[in-house]
Amino acid sequence: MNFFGSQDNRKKQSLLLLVCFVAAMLAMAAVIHVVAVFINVPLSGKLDFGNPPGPAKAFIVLIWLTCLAGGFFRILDVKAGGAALAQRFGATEVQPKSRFREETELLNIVDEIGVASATTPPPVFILHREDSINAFVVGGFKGREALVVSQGALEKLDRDQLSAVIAHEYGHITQGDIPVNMRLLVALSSLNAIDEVGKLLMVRSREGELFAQPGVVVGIVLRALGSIGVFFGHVIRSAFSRQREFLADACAVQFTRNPESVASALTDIRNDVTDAAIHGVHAEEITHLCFQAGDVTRWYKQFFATHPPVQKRIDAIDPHYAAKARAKKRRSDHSDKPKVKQGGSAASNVTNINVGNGTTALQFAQAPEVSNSSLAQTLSPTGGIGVLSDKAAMMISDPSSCLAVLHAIFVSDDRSNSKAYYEAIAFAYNKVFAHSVKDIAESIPKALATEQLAIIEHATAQLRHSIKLENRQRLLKSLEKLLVVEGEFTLMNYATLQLVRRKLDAEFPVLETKVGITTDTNAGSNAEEQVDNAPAQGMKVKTFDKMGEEFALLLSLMVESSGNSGERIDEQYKIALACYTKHHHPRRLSNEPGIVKELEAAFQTLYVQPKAIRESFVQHCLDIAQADHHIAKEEHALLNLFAASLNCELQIPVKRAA
Amino acid sequence: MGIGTILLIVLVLLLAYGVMVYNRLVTHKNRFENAFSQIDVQLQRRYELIPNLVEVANKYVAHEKDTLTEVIEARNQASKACKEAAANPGESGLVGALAKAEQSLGNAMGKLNLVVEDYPELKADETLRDLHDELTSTENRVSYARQAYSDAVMRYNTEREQFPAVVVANTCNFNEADLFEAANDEIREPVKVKFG
Repeated sequence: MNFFGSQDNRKKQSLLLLVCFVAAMLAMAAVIHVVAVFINVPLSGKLDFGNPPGPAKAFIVLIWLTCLAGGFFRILDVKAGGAALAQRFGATEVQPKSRFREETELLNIVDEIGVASATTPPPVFILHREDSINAFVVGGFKGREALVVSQGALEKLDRDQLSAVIAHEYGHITQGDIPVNMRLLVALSSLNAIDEVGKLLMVRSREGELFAQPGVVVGIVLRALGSIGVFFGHVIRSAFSRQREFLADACAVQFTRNPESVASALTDIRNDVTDAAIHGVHAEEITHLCFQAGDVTRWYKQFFATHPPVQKRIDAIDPHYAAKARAKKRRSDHSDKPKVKQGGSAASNVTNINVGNGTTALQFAQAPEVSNSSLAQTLSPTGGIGVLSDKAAMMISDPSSCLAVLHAIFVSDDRSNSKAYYEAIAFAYNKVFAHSVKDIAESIPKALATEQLAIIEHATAQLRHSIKLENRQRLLKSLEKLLVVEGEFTLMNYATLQLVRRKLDAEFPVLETKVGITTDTNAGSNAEEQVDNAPAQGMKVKTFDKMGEEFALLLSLMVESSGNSGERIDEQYKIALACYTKHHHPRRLSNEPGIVKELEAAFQTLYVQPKAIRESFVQHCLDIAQADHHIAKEEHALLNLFAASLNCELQIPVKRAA
Repeated sequence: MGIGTILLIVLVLLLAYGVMVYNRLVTHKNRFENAFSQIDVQLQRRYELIPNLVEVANKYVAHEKDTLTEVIEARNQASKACKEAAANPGESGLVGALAKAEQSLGNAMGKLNLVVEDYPELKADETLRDLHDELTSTENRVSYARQAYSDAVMRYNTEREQFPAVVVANTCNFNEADLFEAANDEIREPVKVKFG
């Protein structure tokens, strides 16, 4: 992150907010003035803003005095200085030369960051009863700050992370947030006092007739004024506070020069289950200066949130942090256990599947670093992985025949269609290739239908090692062009093509990742990460109801592929859909025009949902497919498509043929 | 109002602005000089810790005299260079000399660490362990102090080179400050003292 630039930016924004706050206070004063004059009209019959009559004047003075008193009490409260406030929270000061190693380490860190920030280290306190990860600075007006760290932070964070948290707090100190925050607090308290006085007046006159008494009217007006003022004051102060958090984060990066540790501390906080918010009598004074305050869950509460969502803070430090951390972890795992092979893609971990005829048990996992000898073994019909009939195995012995067989898979049963297909191939490549495709399609028509998955597996395994990624992508593009008949895929072709794409490791990055296959893992994993993180931001998650259409589409395709009779399908569909939405969505048919485009859009929508939802949905689809104790070829293709497109792992149970 | 009065007002305003810029430059200059003295403080702290470490090590490995002497000599040289540089922080040559002395000290410490690795009973010594903690923290402080110095120098240089200030800076002899550049990557590495 460019922390100097970021700091300047945040400072500008928070200055703007401060100006807003002052303006709001002035506006408040003006409103009070106007209201005072207006409610005086019935009494004196005059409307004079410049020189208000006696009662109005008294009213205005009353309000100002209330404000001053409220502010004054707050000043008394906070002027004791940081150390006294910290003790009021129940924190104990850490003595130098402490017996505990973790305490001396904390002191060391505080001193170190003090050097980095060119600030005198403040006294350090530990909040022993606080198990959440947190830290804050408290202080009065004259810079007598104290730094408080929770016990949870000491226990759960490592040295670098703790340094990051401390550096964040130093950021608040160096940027002068504490005095500003205290002043805002005093201003808000004075507004709050108006509200409180209004409350008092109203309570006292509840016995009598409520609206006849002038006290009640004044009380209502005071309450209205007070609460409006407090409301806007809070909103602006919270916005200001959020900017200062970003600023302090940027400072933390500047002081530690270690954005990773700042981000990892934030990540640990996000994953920490303990309630983050600090509670207590004086909590209001310090939540603005805490390292974190727990994420808000309701949309309207974000206006009052003193801290930005943790994810946003991590993104501001390094948008790709999570992906990097994961890649790093994977690397270290890899070096620990070099024998464990990483699956090429998310859904291709060892998956035993049962294809329509019930005889084929395939192992989908292809170790990405298959050497030539093991490749040969993979490809040999008896080599263990997959059972391929001898005839089919002979047909796909070299790369060019693999290419041909991938095209042959899509040859339609309909003669006129297949003829057009061959012509298109001849046009796209050449006649010789079209011939070889035709040869294959005609010599092993049965194998193409029943052993389709095995064939795809073997052909793609070989191609993946013999041609480059960009050529594979080109191949997929031309294949896609061939298959789009009148601007439209058939659903099955689409599903098969997606499978080929996945097996060739040539998919588009947004739909799949290639993490761990090549050394260049970052590009792929970032895309995945952003998508994976989307639910955490809480914005993109739709309720199930809103996604009813998408679920309906996927479910209707699923039930249809079972090949059952119409009524049975309708019934299954109804039961399945009821799990997701109350609304009725008509069942869709796989031969509708534009269905593939809609399907892709639905995948896009569902892809950003939390993984648990996606996984359980795919599992549900598997249950639907298995309802008749038999997974048809179409069902299998669809399941694979769903799993791949939603980035879930699919475990299709193996059932030996009876 | 005559032209003379207006000119006078403009002149006074310009002068006031110049004084402001000058003061700001002084503030930044003092800040980075103070930041440098922080490096000095932390380096001194380190130089004081090293003899203690050598003393403890001497109890166990007196026969490795060469290494121990080398460390002490390098330490003395670095300490001297540090004092000279601290006396005159603006001069770039002295900072470079300090960086060189630091480097040879780093090399000597590296050798000492190799020696320590070979003697388990030395590694187990508690005093040495405490010293190690101190030294690690001090290493961090040294690097943080360097970083703070660089930040302060950057702020000062930026301030100095910007337009109206550059005029004041050049007339009033505010020289450009040097970043604390380590001679090579080795010096940037903290001295590692690992026990167990």
